[in-house]
Amino acid sequence: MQRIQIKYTKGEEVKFISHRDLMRVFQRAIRRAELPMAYSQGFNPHMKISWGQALKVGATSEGEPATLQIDGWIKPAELMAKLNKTLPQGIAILEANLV
Amino acid sequence: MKEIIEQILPNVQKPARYIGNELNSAHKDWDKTSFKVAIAYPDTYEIGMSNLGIQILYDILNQEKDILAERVFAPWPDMEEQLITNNLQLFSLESWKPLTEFDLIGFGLGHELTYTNIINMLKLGNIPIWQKDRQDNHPLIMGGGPCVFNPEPIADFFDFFVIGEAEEVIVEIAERLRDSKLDIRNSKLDALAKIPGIYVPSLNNKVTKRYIKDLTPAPYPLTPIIPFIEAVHDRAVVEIMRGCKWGCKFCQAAWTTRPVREKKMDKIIQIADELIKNSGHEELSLVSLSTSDYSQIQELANTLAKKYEGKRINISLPSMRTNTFSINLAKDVARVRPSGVTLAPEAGTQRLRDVIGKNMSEENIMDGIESAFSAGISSIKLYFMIGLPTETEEDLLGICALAQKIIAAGKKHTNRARVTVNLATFIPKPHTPLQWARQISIEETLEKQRFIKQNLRGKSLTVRWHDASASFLEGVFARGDRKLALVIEKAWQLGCRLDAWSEHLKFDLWQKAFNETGINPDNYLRERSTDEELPWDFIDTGVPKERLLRAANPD
Repeated sequence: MQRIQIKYTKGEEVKFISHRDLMRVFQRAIRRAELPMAYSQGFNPHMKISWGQALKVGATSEGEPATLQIDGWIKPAELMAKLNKTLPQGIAILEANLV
Repeated sequence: MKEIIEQILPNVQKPARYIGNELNSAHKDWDKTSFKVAIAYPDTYEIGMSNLGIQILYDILNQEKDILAERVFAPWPDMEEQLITNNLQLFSLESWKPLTEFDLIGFGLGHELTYTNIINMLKLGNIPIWQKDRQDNHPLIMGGGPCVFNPEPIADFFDFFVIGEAEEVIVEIAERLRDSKLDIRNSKLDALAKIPGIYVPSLNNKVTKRYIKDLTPAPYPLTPIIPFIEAVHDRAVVEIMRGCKWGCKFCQAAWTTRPVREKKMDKIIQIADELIKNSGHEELSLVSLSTSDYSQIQELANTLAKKYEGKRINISLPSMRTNTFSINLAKDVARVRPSGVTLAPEAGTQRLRDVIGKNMSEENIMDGIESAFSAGISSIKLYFMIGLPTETEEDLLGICALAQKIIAAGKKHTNRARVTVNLATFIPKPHTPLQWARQISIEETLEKQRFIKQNLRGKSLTVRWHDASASFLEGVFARGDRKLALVIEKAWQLGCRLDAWSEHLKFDLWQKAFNETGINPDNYLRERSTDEELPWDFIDTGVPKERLLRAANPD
């Protein structure tokens, strides 16, 4: 079990996406990247990700935080490379660090 | 233009409806691509993006080097207001280009209650709505989809229609138009009318529907666009079969999508793999008009379920006939147990089910229900139609009795058993054996709804019904003729938009539109004589009228 904190951009292309929709975008990108995520228990398990404060719709950012809980082990650099391949334009991971 | 759009987007609900940039959306070089198509769906983004036809055509066109396709949907009223206030034209999602800059605009038409949105989108796109008023420099306006099996009510707004399956012919159309040296609109239309499956209303040509002979090699989008906002159907979808072998006499889809064609299993699995990889969706849906009729459905569903076991992917099988086999299969392959099943007996008695050709006995129904409850499913949704030909009070009471019987069966399994009865008004549709039948009036609809509600009471029972006025309009336009275009224009002028949304449907304005144009809508609901010429008779779906007649009156 690992926790990796990432810092990501929310660029012009996606600045009108709401926080809730952005969370779904990440979940899909993570699934496409086939990252070994930790899931919650229960009937409807979901990925364990903790998010920073929601950005206002229409605002861009050069460094939003989120923490991904990993079930297993992956190098933060590898996670960043894989995710950057599957995220849509306008979102990029700038940093990934173990916490 | 871009700057103004950026300024207005924060002022509208769900700006993501208009911005494009989704994963797998196509961004081709605008200036270097010679032929430009706008794929339009006359309803909101969420509805349009759930339409498989839109995704298929978008993909086919964008695969072509010299063609680009971009999308445009009906704006929500707040966006419409912003466009007008800021003197902006309706624009495409990908390049934010106004509609007038495209060569061809193709509308997907899935529902009669979207017709005012077509006008609205053309108006907001600064394109004359009447075909006869458009000049050589305007884009050509094309229509396709299920509604165009009777395109007459909207015929005067369109340059041409594709009757049947457009993926067969869309590239041919684009190439014919691109290569046409002549810029003259009428000569383009003359050329198009020579392509089988194309109907040009201004030429009144007869037409035979196009369809794909073999579904297996047919193009299918492997990199579907993944919306940022939630679409109505948010899942990976593989079409496994087209057509339906059952002969339900009311079902337009079944009669217009013949013959039945299956996609080969290995191809389906290959497509599913790609979709899962490229989408990140958690649900994979195998779709067709009647999925349980796919010859290898068990093997297919089990293979996929096994394959994706570790990937947290739920496999859903919509449009299954509810019997023990289907219930068990659905339960086996679903990762999450389905909470409910849906059954469409359509009519309340065996007599009436026989009349409409719904091949489902009460024994079949109760067997299916029993397996569903045994599988731990507690909620049952039932679909019925009211106003079917020869219907009596007994048939309506039959609906109530069947619902009660199902709830009683359910209570033996669980106290949580629930039944929802959905009542739709029967709408006689073109090219079906019931196309000559009468549609009941709004008053009769309300009366029948009331009767069922009165006779169907109970704690675990819910009755829902389609809005009577919406069904009325759908019926008028489904079997309408060219005169109705004036009514659609008038309704639009009076402020009708997004009529498929109950919160937006303004029936009083529609009544006013009928009054002011002097057209009596009741006339379109009447029973048609079998020797009367019908507005859609010029379309050959492959099922001759005599065959429909024989199906309507079996001896």
